[in-house]
Amino acid sequence: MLGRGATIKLLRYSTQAHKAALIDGTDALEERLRSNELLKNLKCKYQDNQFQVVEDGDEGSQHLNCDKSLPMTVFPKQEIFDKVMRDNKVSQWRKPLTQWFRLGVHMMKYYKDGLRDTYRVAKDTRNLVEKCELDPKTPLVTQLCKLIEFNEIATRQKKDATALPLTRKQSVMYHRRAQVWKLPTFFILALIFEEFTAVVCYVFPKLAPHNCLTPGAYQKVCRTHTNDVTSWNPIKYQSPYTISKSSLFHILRRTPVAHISKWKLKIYDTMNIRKNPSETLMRIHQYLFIDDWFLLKDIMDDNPTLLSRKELVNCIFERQLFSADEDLNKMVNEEEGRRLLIWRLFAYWSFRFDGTVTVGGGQLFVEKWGVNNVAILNYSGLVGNKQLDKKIYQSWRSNL
Amino acid sequence: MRYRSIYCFARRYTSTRSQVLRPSFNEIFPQKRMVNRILFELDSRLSFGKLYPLFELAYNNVDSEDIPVTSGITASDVMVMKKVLEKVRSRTKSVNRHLLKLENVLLDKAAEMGNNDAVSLLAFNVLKNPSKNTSDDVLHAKLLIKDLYKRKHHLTMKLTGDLALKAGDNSQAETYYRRFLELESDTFLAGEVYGQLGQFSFHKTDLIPAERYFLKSIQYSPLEYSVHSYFYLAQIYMNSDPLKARTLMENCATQGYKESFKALGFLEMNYFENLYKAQEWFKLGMELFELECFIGYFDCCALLGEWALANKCFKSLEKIAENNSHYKSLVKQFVEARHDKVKRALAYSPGPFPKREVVQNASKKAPQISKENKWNL
Repeated sequence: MLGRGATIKLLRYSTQAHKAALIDGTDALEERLRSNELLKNLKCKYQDNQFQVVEDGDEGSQHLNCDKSLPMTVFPKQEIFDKVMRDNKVSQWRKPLTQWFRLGVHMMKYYKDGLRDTYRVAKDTRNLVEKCELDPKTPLVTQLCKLIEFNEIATRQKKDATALPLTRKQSVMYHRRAQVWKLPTFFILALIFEEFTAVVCYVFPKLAPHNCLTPGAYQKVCRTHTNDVTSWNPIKYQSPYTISKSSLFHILRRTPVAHISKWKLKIYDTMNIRKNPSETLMRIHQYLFIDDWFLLKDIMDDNPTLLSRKELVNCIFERQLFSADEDLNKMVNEEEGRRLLIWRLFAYWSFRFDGTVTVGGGQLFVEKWGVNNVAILNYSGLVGNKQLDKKIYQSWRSNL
Repeated sequence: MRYRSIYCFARRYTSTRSQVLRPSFNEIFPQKRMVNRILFELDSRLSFGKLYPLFELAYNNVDSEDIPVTSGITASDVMVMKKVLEKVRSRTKSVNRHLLKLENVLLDKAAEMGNNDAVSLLAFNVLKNPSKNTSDDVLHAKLLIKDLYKRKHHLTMKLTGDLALKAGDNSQAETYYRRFLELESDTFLAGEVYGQLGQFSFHKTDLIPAERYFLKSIQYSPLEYSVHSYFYLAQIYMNSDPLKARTLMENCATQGYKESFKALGFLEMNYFENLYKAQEWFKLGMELFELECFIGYFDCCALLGEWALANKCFKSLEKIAENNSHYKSLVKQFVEARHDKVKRALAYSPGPFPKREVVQNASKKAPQISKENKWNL
């Protein structure tokens, strides 16, 4: 049988992006600020306070932030110690003891809340796929990617685009629900080590659920997930299957988005299994694309976007836009550090999304970069040279 | 067995002249296993053993004005017989004119016996080609359809939709198809209708309903009747889920769907990086003279370093361009874009030896190796 009258959709297995997309110097930044509509827009939004990073506990955008599934950004030791010092009811000789006791109680409560929240996140998202009338057999990220593509096609044709069936908050909650599997191990540990569980969690931070991490433990985790891939060429199209085997396994070992145990990777490597790791890499790529899309859509809307500090840290962490010596929690609580993190996010987005339908351009993301192009996975859009990147940031800072 | 062959032989020579001109029924009728399977699918009331003599009887009396029907046979049974022959035609992808004639005769008989499906089919056959029928026939067919439509006959709804689609009135066709689905939404025919509705939505870029319709279409219809739905669904998933798209496209390829070969070839070559598999898909496409398949095959050969095959492919491409003016400019562009590769491919010969003189010279110049020192022992 011959297919009569069938329209063929253009398949994209190559990138349409040009090298000029990179910001490789201060002059390039000036040029980018002129030619990159997205960077220009983001700068305006930031200057007009349409995009703000709010303190933890403040009212952020309800549909964006899911703070209960993320760890604290400030260790409350100093705050508790100061509080005890100011407390006149506690006599002077008891104060050092009370300070440590209250810190211990606070940490116990923190762990308790963290465990409860991890369970709640899993419980709340248990029937999310069915509620949204999506296919339970296909991964959620894959389905969302498809729906975003439909949405962008409709937007380009100036039709009424169908809204996505879930918000960013629900999407990240669904992704973070995997942390619930850490609970049984954690309970066993707590049963064995009792009050020393906190020490065990400090030494082996990945044993605790993500929202039970302290800033110190978080930094330890961050160090194991830095992006040290320097040999990539983001201009050359690479699918999850065409990428070299060594690069594929290296990315999977370092990615903070999905946890794949070392023994599994070893089996895949030894038995030369390509499909499972490649599909995992594809899903990581899709998850980041969806998260970027949700955030950019919200920023581009007229309403102000209020991103929480925890979410900002997590965005930088998942996209691997940091180096091993940086303390993200410390940075996000300082004015200058926060600006630097926001700048990195803007540079990353402007590299990936400029000219796409999402931000008012004419191309679909797939048309710009190709189908699941993992060559741009976590690519910062900057040079990667610390000195030069700092210079570019200073230039950006003076532009604000 | 021996008696059976003698019986057949005797029957063949004692039959009427018209029967002698046609092949005997058991020669052209499909295998029992195939017919049994079709009868099972059609949920037939009667078994093969009961229906075979009826088929034979009808076949032997196909030229007479009225075919005899034994008692206990209803109009729907005759319609099942017709459907069996129709399915055989579609599955074997071949038409036997004697069986086709028998199929038409059975359809007429079922209509005579009062089967509404048969009446509807005959009436629409008249309306599809009004110029080949008399005005009285057309008028009568219209009256019959009107009557069946009033009675909300499901097949009439579907065929009205098909007629509107043929006339290019898609919105009207969509309305009739929707009415049909109100009457019947989970049958083989409904699968076909879902496929059509999916195509309407796909062309209007309403992709969410299109996907839903195509999924229903492949759920209710077998692959050979819903190959378009498989193809469109593969297109929908191509960017978000290439693995699923590949499976769907491979299903299309099993039915010889022309467009699926190049899509599969490029998917395997560029996304899954399985060059040998891509080569095989392109080869199939090349047999159908798909230009993109030639280009894809050339690229595959170049990537694999099979320059002799690339040369052969390029030569075929040039031959196609000679005969088709549209392809000429495309091939020119192809040569410009892959100048170095083409040059390299042309340096290789598709045959085992490039030139006879070279081989002869080589054989003259080659040192004689004696058996003793061949392995340097």
